[in-house]
Amino acid sequence: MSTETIKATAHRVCETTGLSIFLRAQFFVKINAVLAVIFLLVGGIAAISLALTRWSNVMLLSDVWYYRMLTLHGVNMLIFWIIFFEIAILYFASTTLLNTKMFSKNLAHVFLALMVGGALLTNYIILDGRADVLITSYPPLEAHPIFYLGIILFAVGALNVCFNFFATLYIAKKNKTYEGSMPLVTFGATTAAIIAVVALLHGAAALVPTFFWSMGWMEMMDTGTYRLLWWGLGHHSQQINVAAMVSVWYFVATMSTGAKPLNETVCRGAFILYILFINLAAAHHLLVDPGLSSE
Amino acid sequence: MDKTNKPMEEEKIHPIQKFMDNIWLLLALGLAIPILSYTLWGLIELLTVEQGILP
Amino acid sequence: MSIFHPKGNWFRPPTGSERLWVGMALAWCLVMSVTMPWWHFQGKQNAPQNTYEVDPGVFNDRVNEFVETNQVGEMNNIPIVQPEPGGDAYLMGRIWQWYPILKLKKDQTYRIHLSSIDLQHGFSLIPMNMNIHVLPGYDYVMTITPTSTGEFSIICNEFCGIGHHRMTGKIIVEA
Repeated sequence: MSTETIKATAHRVCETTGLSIFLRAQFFVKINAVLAVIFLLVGGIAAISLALTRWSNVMLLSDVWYYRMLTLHGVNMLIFWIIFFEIAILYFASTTLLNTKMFSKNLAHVFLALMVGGALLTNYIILDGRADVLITSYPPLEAHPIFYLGIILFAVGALNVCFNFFATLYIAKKNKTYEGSMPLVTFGATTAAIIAVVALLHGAAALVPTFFWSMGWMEMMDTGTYRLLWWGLGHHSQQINVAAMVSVWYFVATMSTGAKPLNETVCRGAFILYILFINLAAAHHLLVDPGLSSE
Repeated sequence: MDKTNKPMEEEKIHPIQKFMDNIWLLLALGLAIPILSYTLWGLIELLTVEQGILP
Repeated sequence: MSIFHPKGNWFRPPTGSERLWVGMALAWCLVMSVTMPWWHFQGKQNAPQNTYEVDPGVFNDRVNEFVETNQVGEMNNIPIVQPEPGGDAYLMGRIWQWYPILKLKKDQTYRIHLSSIDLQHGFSLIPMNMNIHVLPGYDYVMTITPTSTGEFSIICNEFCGIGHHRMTGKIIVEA
């Protein structure tokens, strides 16, 4: 084995669980989980300030800061916290549970930098008071270009992490690092990754032209089209969370009590229904938004 | 599934299990279904909106 | 276990009480999936509607013309306008006002044109729980027949900048 192969497959055995933790993947699991919780904290502090404003005895924030914190809350909770945590789960479920090295450590560093940079840019410009547009940022309500750029960088980073995840699944299968089917937890993480790809593609399709518009490079996107594409991000982003959360439930149940799924077929069948049909939850936009027929 | 079981290579795999194991097909369907039934449908609806006359 | 790899042919359709529970859950999924479009078409929450493309400037001019020809009063500097029963009425959202105030007759049918001339707004009729997204560039035409009299408030339910929470309007229905 070459030195590179030895480094790539270096791992330790976890004393508590007996699982193999690949040292390179471990860093990305930890850093993404920690970042997720930090952004959850930011979104949570914003939520408390909003609650204290709605409480008429306190009325903490002025109207300007109320909308600013509402924007901060939405972006951090619905996008940054959810997706950072999902990324941590993806790295864990694709390496430790499949007993394989990750596809590319160098790419993982680049994608992490994109995601962190994007999240910081967007949070900075919101707090600086130049993006009071709420998370939906419906044009022609206009934010500073950095607001859109930050979310785009984050989305591109996260989309590529999904690529890294799928590539890791591929090499695990090719190198036969496991026998039979993928573990249920990895299957659930795959569900989350598939939905994430849908969410992030829609996010990019809505926000890249909007970023160009805010730079003055092109005409504003049609308001109906923006709304359609944006909700392809908005709803699916929440659904990433649900799929990832259910996988973690299975993981915790096994780790804490040794429980095993009653029926693999039913468990996986539920995930598959989710992959195939959860977008019905976004379909109410097709029914009620202007521009879409209902007669 | 007991870990100690030897893999039974002779055993026939049920087609639904094969489908569940095929993540590439699931990825393709998971992208195609929302893009066709939500995004593309929505875009077609928006593109076919007629000019208003405001009587 | 959920973190290990099931081997061989693990496919097993649910049986017994598991089958019952999974069946009930699936049946409920289908009921809910059908209910969403069914309620939309049969639930009588939102009025029948058509959408057209419209230039915001053209819509603005048409609203002003409508106000000039049909104005019957004024409230807080906003004109009260009474459209012809059975005819077209216009209502526009702009920062941060619903313009004008419409005065309708009970049991008469109107075609109400709803649009925005600047940002995206949200038309929310209180206390009817009727909610419509209002987009600049789109003329949303709903056919409405008021069935009760009184004053109904409109609030904006889509964020449109700092004056969003002050953006209110009114529809008056007379006998």
